[in-house]
Amino acid sequence: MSADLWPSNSASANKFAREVWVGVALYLVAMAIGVLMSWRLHLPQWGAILMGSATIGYALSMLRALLRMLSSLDEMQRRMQHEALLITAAVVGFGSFAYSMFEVTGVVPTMPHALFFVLPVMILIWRVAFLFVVRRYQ
Amino acid sequence: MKNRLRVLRAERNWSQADLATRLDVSRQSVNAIETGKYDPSLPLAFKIARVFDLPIEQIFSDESEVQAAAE
Repeated sequence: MSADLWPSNSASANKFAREVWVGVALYLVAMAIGVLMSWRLHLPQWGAILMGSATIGYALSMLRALLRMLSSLDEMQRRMQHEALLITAAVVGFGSFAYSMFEVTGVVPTMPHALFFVLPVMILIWRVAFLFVVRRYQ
Repeated sequence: MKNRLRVLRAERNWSQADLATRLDVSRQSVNAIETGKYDPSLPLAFKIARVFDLPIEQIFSDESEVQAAAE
């Protein structure tokens, strides 16, 4: 991703990177603690749900960082990000739906913990989609 | 939409980065507007007109109008 096509203001770009990485780190720590405590303490279902809910705050802080980053972009950069995000949503949405259909019909083997892969795949597709969109405007 | 951004910028000896700073956009946005890959919004078009101190229609023109005039 070209650095110049990210927020033109480097302070905004640094702030976004800091907020997202801190959010990702806290999210992973909260999730790991939640999973470990659920296993070790044999929490009832409501306890596990409560532990899982602790990650929502960090997920929301990452969402806030993303929205703030989008608002710091100029109009063309924002349009490119919107197009990349739309492509990502379509590919991940229809892709996961199609994969689930294949799983149900037995065309592909059932993958355990398949939902864990949604976020990394989404980030990967967003990067690829953004590079594709950038080419259209260069 | 066609525009005379590159010519006007050259007349003033401004680089794309100079113009981008004056418009508060990225250099890539200036380049995309100059090459016709991106049409600016109305507020940005007015801002460009203000920066060059020209009426908006002297900077931007509708391609279909240009073609019709040529025919």
